[in-house]
Amino acid sequence: MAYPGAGRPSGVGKSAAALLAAGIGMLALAVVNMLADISPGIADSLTLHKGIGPYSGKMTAATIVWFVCWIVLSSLLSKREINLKVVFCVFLIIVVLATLLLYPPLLDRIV
Amino acid sequence: MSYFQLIGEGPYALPTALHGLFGFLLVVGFVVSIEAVLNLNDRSIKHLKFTTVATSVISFLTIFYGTFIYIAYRSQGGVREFLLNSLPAAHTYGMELKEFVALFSFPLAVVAAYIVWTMGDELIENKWMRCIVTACLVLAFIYTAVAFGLGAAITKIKAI
Repeated sequence: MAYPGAGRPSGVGKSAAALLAAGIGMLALAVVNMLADISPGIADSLTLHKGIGPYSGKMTAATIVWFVCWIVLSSLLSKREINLKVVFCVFLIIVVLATLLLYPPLLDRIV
Repeated sequence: MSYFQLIGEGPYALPTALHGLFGFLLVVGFVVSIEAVLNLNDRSIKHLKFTTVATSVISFLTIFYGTFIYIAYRSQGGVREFLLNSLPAAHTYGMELKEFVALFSFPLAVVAAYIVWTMGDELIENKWMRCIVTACLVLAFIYTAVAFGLGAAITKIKAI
């Protein structure tokens, strides 16, 4: 039985990899921000540009995670048949989690 | 009306104006892209290919200029210092949320563009993939609208 949305394996797999990698990159941004809030040492090490502050390192770290995940997932998923329903649900869960971790009242409770 | 009356004066006047302009164009770009994906057919797929790439580029430019003026926001005697002293909630619940959710628009726009270009005409028949592209664009629109609204509100309190 074909998975929902399954189609040309390479196109669907590559698209699924791009989607998941973007979600993981967004979550990485939220996690790095949380870690910087917890530890001033981490915040200092993320300061790649004095004027921009730790925000520069947070953006850079999240971008690296996003692109590395995209490359890895693309090589893993490009030739497989993908269940898009599952991929979409995982992506939405990751995005909601990333947004919640960035929501200041919730972040304050965690930190 | 002179240039300085329209844009303002100072080293950050032009980047600030461009940040706001690109932010506005981004909101419009996502609306146009969502409209295109919801009414997808052989003709509108070309339109969608263009709008998703355009929103990705505009998103990058919005973030680029936003990061540039963030230096002014954080500078000594800047808006951040003013907000922390007079209205700390505006910084904590406004700017701290805005500066991160605004970044989300870029990967979402890039993913939407990538899927549209990778899938091509197949996107018209693939309901789930179309649903994913729509979700990316709607989420990107929401994040951009939130960031745009919070940015406008903070600028009303104190401009850079």
